Amino acid sequence: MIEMNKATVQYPGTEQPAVNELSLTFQRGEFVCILGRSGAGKSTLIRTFNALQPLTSGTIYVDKQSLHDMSEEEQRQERARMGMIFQHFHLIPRLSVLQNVLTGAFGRKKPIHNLLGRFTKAEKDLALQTLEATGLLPFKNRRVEALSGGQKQRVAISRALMQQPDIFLGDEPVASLDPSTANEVFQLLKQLHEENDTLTFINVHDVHLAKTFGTRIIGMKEGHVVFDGPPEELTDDVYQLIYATEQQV
Amino acid sequence: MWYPRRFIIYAVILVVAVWLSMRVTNFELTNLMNLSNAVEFVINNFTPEAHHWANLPVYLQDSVVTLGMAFLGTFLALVFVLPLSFFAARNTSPARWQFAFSRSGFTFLRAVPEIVFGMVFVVALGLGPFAAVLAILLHNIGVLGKLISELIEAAEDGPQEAMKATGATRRIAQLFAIIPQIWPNVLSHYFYRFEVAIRTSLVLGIIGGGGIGQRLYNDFNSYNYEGVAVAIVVIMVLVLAVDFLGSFVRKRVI
Repeated sequence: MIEMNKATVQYPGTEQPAVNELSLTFQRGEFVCILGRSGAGKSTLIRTFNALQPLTSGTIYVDKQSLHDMSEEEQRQERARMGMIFQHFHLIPRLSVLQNVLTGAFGRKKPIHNLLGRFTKAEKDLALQTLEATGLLPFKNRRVEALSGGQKQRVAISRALMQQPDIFLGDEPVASLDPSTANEVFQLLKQLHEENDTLTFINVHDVHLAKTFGTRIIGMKEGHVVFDGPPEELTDDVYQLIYATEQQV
Repeated sequence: MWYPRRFIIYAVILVVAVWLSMRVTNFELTNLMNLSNAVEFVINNFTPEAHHWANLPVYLQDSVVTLGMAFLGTFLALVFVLPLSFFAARNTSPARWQFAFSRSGFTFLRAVPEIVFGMVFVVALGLGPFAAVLAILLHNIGVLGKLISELIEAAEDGPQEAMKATGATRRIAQLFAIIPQIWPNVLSHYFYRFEVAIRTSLVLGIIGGGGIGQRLYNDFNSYNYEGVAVAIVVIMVLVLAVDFLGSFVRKRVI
């Protein structure tokens, strides 16, 4: 579904690429957990999949089409079928839960309809369904500021579901949540992943979560992939390799 | 020492600046002895009696004109500025030249005081509130343009990225991610400018812009100080009312 061919991202003014000539292939149905220290390139990698982050060189094929060679309009349409959630939720303040979820439909609609807030019956029903799925239906008219961290992330997940995505991107979605909430959010993500048969990528710091939920683990270090395999193969040695500092190696 | 040595130099510079400013403005504390004259003048002349208050409806009518000028000028300015500010904010401007163009346009409009615009329009378009509305409008495009584009620049970019990730177009993403964030501050800037515009429209009355400012100025020139006092009371109520309305709306929004 996604095929990377020597994909590289180098930020201007840095010596080392944040993502260094990665060539990986991902199939529908995989639940990929990406591990790595801060600055290892996890966020950059995940942002290349929906072209929020342009490549410096190399290519990424999404369903055989080169994502980064598309026009801005085509990229936008690709993005519309990839749901994304973030560490700090990035909800729109002062809007209600339901309004936030409805913005998930923006990618499929004409700008003028988005501007005027015109949604079809089907879209409204879908929004309510996604809230049902994340257990937030009773809160649909609450303002998002009034919610707890875990609830906010579930609003963000509903918004992503509203896109009816076949690729799901999570940029450290549980990094600002407490452990038990983090576990609940992961369970929800896994359940939705299975129901919708998506390709899911989650950046995560918690190895335990990655091993419990992931079907494939990627370990990143300084822009390189140092581990790529099923969770069973993630041994302590590999863990050391991913998280060790320069000095310790 | 708990302060750096250079502070002594700053203090000396400030003292010299104060002394120089006093010299050029003929500021003399001894003149304050005559302040009692001013108090006496106000007490003797600015105490309207019943027959002065009988004119109140005329003053109220004029104050409605003033309110209309201030509202129309600032509100139209806000309507123009809301979309334009996105061009004048570094993070949302589509191109460098559009940023430079709109920013310098705002700076120019802001640099010209309302009274200068007012004098030009009174001459070109004739006496009356229309000239005053245009003057307030142009100056406030400059002021609100600067304030709102700076709010846009200070807005968090997380929601913008999230909106982009839903596949929304650039413009829609920016609009939806930014406007709700900055809205309360936009309103408080707007109501402050509205309040300022009421005071400005008084000054514009002096150059023939109409409204209660003109009435006040005419009363003053014809030694009708009681009338001036009535006008001042009406203006105070007006400004207070706008301030009250502003805080009411803001409270509803936040």
